[in-house]
Amino acid sequence: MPADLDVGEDLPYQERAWRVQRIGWLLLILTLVAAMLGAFGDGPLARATVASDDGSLSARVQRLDRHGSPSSIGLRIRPEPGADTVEVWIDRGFVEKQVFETIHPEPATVTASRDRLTYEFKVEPDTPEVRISFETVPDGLGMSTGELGVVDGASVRFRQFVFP
Amino acid sequence: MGSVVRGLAVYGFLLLLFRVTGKRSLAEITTFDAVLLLIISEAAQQALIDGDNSMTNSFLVIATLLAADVVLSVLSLRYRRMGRLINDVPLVLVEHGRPLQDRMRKVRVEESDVLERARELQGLRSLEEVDYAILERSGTITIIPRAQP
Repeated sequence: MPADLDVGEDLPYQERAWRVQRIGWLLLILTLVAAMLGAFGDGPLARATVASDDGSLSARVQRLDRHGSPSSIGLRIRPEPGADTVEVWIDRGFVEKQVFETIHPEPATVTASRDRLTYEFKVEPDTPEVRISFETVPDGLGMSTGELGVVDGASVRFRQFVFP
Repeated sequence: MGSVVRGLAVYGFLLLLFRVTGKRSLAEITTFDAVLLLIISEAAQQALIDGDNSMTNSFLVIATLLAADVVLSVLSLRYRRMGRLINDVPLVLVEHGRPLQDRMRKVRVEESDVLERARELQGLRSLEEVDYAILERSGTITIIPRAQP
């Protein structure tokens, strides 16, 4: 420090602070790259498709999601031959951590039971595949597991982490 | 509860980010810096309010931010290390008219920034006339002119 200037410099601290700053910049860049990849939701890392063993049900879910930000679950179901309805159930624990905005197509009925909600959709008989999408907004925080399936058919489990 | 937690989280995050990016980050206040500051405050607002537009929430968030500020200033008064950590330390950039290049590079200050401040504050014409230029903790540059012979 200059002898004739009372400025309160602290060079050892300053050097350390610069080093920490450089590390900070690196972390900042890494965080942003991770964000581009979807490590904080909304990107390729965040999406996942889970399918049942027999391939009759597959669900595109968000493994990493954000509280209060629009999300969705997309289902592809191979209905039973000749059936004119498809019944999908979602476990209640998962449903309670979401706000369901819209469901496409509209379910014909919704039945609540102790541990699940069952949605019944009308389908044309012998349709090879139906697609159903649930537009949701995550309302919980942290890790949760969800399970959904076709009544008397295949089911899938998935995990979801919701960022604040 | 959410209001206080959100307030503290945003306060802590911004403090960390601004300390990491350096004190000069937005201190220059060019027109663009001012615009950036506005956008940042707009983005931070979302996190603070989180869809709760009640007056109670806004009052609690404001109270939280100010309380965090008071607590930190009291702590930095009491503990010197804490003060350094939060407020940074000043740094001499020009000594007797001689620019300290590697320091200036590290804090991303150019000679022209120093000269600009020298003209603005003291009406000086060249670096020769500057005795000391100091990058203050706030990120502004202050100038001490050479004593006239």
